[in-house]
Amino acid sequence: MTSPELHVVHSLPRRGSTDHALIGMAVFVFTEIMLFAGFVSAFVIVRNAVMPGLWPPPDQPRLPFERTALNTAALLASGVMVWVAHRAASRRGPMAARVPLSIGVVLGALFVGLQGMEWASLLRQGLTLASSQIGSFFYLIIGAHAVHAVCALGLLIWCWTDLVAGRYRPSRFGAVQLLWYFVVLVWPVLWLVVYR
Amino acid sequence: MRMKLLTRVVLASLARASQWSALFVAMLPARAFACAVCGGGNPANRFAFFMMTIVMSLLPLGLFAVAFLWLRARLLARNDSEFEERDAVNVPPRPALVDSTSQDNGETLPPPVPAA
Repeated sequence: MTSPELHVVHSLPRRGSTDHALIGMAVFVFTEIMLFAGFVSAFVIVRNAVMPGLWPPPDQPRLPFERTALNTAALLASGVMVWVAHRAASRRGPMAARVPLSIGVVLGALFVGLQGMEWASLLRQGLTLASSQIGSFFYLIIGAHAVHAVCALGLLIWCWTDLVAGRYRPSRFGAVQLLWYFVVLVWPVLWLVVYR
Repeated sequence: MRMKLLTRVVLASLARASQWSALFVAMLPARAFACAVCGGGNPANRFAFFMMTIVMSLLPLGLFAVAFLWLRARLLARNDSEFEERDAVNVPPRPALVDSTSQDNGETLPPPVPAA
């Protein structure tokens, strides 16, 4: 005979201290922060080892700091829109997150597209992975960020398709959100350190 | 007696050798310029190396602190609403804890049928 107390316990929803997907993504983001910190550290030390006025080398193109401000603005706006989507979903239901998340995805795609165009321009000007130290560091650091941006954008699109199809999963969206915030917030640091 | 003396001499020799070894290892990079950054370079480079050493040392500690505070905040928020779900659940009426074959199951018995 089944105990009635056991029946009551089973009828309660299962609760954990926090979301496993979020914790896993947080650990991943932790390691990625350290990875980019190592990149930036190496870059700063090498740049300071060069005599003043010789960075970037005279035969290498200048990195387009001002023009990349547009990319930066697009990415930051994308992060804000994803945050707005999260708030809308938690306050007014998943359907309220469709528009801000769509805008966030479009802005993220705009950032990736503009970065691709910038890379093509720099390659035409002669900045390659093997052309100089700045070229090596640029493609290593900014390339690593681009890989993260593309992967995070893919995950964000995955969440968006789920949302549109009516299969909103807060756990998945929370983890993807964390990765996207990492991509968004690490970019201004890279922009100010590498491009300037 | 001789063994004790021998042991003491050996231990003293080992201690002195380890001291000289530590000093040698500490001086080695400076003498050999094994690391171009910490052994040489211009002042800006050395300063950058010093600052980045600090950043790279403190960054993981800061991240651990942030993770700890975040988890703590989530656990506190969870504990605040610990019994809300339990209290909100519609608990079904508690069935009898006795065998169904028993007559005394806690229910009100129907009135006795008068004999014909």
